[in-house]
Amino acid sequence: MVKKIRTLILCALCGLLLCSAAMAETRVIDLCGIFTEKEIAQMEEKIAAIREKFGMDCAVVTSDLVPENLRYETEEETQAYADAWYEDHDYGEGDDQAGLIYLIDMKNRLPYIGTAGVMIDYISDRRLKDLMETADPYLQKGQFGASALAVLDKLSGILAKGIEEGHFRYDSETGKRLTGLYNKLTTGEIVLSSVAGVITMLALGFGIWARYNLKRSTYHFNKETQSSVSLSRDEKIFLRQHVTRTHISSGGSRGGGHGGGGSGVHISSGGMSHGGGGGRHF
Amino acid sequence: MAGTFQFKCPACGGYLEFDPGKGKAVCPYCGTAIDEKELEEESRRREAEARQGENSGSSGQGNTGSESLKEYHCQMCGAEIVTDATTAATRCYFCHNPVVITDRVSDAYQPDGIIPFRIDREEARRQFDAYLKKHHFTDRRFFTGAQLEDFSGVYYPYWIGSMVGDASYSGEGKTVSSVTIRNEIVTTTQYYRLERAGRIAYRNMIRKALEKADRQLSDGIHPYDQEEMKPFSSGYLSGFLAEKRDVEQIAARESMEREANGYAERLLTENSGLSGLKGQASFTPDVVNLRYALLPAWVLTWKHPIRKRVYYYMMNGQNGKICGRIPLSWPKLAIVCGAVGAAVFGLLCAGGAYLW
Repeated sequence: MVKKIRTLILCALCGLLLCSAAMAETRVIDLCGIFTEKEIAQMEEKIAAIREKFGMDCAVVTSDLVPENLRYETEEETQAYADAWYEDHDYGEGDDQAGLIYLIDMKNRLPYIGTAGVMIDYISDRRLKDLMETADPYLQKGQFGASALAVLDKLSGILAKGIEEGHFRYDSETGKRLTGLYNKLTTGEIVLSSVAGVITMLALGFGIWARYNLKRSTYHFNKETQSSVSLSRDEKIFLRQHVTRTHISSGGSRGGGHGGGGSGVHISSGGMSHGGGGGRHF
Repeated sequence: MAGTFQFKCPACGGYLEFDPGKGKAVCPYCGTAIDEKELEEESRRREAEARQGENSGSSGQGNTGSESLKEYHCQMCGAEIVTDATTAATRCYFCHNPVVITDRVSDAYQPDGIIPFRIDREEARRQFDAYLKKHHFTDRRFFTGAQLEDFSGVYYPYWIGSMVGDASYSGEGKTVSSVTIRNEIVTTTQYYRLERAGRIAYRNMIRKALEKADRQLSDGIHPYDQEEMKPFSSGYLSGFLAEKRDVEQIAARESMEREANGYAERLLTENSGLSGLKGQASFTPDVVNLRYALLPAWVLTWKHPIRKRVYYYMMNGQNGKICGRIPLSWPKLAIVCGAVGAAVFGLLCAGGAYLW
């Protein structure tokens, strides 16, 4: 009897361990029950593909437990909740815990994307805006699962393109730039550099060859010193006038804010750097 | 012997040669030197004697049967000297004495002026060597000291012209100005007709007067300082080669007038304050003065032993300016051009990676 009880307890413990391990691997947490099972399965599949292909984590969370934001247009509570969720569940890949969390805040009716690690660099403000615009039509129609799937699809495309040229991080509170511009050598630049190198080489070679072989005219009459002009008539007659007006555009923002090539960064209460931002209320 | 004359040393009877370094005629045997004034007087006397000989029917000039070759006799050794139709001064092939052919530097062919050599053979050699060193891509393997000895000092004939004439220009141009008013750039373009007329004077236009002379080379060693032009004296030719002209004044004048006409538009539209000028200019010279002059040049001919190509070099005998095609060292050129191309490639890649 004692043996049977011991066996049952062991089985229960093993079951619990297995369940907690399965929970740890789950990246779609639907606390509000607004996703269908099919949608959850599709999301898990897409997230697994992203993790395997790009080595960065991804999670989708719905919750109505987020405290209310101070004002309708602010997102501080949603942001804090997303950051805390990401850190508490130990999401992220690699030393920098790179990854993204897509939170559908049902309390504030606000979508939020939070980033960490190198994912901050991939998801610039411009790309964040793109992701939110991708999700927005579905959210407005109450198709929450479809919005998450659309975000994951868009994210795969973004990650495949790599970090944007000229990307930088900045402090989202002060606007101060935190890193230099991100540059990488593209294939186009290598091709252009090669072409410029070859053209320079040929031009230099041809120039020297032409100079050594007297391919240019050697005749030169110095008009400045060997000629003189005395004018007896000098008339400048006005014919017509043409006026053009060009409007000076006021000029847009040059990075550093939403829509730019930079990523705004803030520090969570847990001390970790996060990027990201919210979308339009639904 | 008439038709030719040679400058004999008043001390030993040897021949005299003009020394560019000293600016005097020097006897290579006894070292006697005659200054330029004495040389001019001696030249006039010698030329008169030579002409007298021709008039008395004892000219040494013969015909070789070819239109382009002429035969003379050396006054020193009596040997026959065969020259082509334009040679005015040469050396006797047998005694190597300098010979001036009288009829090619007198009467209609007497030059109005001459710029004497200022650079002697040794200096020419030194300057040519420096010229090759300055050209880093020169294939120097075949320039030996012996080849550099083969410099010939030659007086080449030129026409030097000045002309004055009426010129006019009629055309249309514009001025463009921009001002910024609030959030607009206002650009005003004003169009004007420009009418100008006046007199243009050109000085020291130059044309080679020897058809066979390479135009690029003879143009490439200009300019000469024409302040140093002296009245012609055949004494300056002694020890050098000289050519007489075979391009006549009319051809040189036409060519100079065409060139002068080409400059008229530029000269007449200067300081007009207009841009994008389109119009027509004309220049009609009414005073044209052409002088026939001999100008000094050191000449080097060198045959590339592998490429079998003949290279000609000319050096201004007054200031040392050199012109000529230089055999290239292809390996040197390839290394340097390749290195520069690679550096450009590297810099652009670095710029692509870190700057833009």
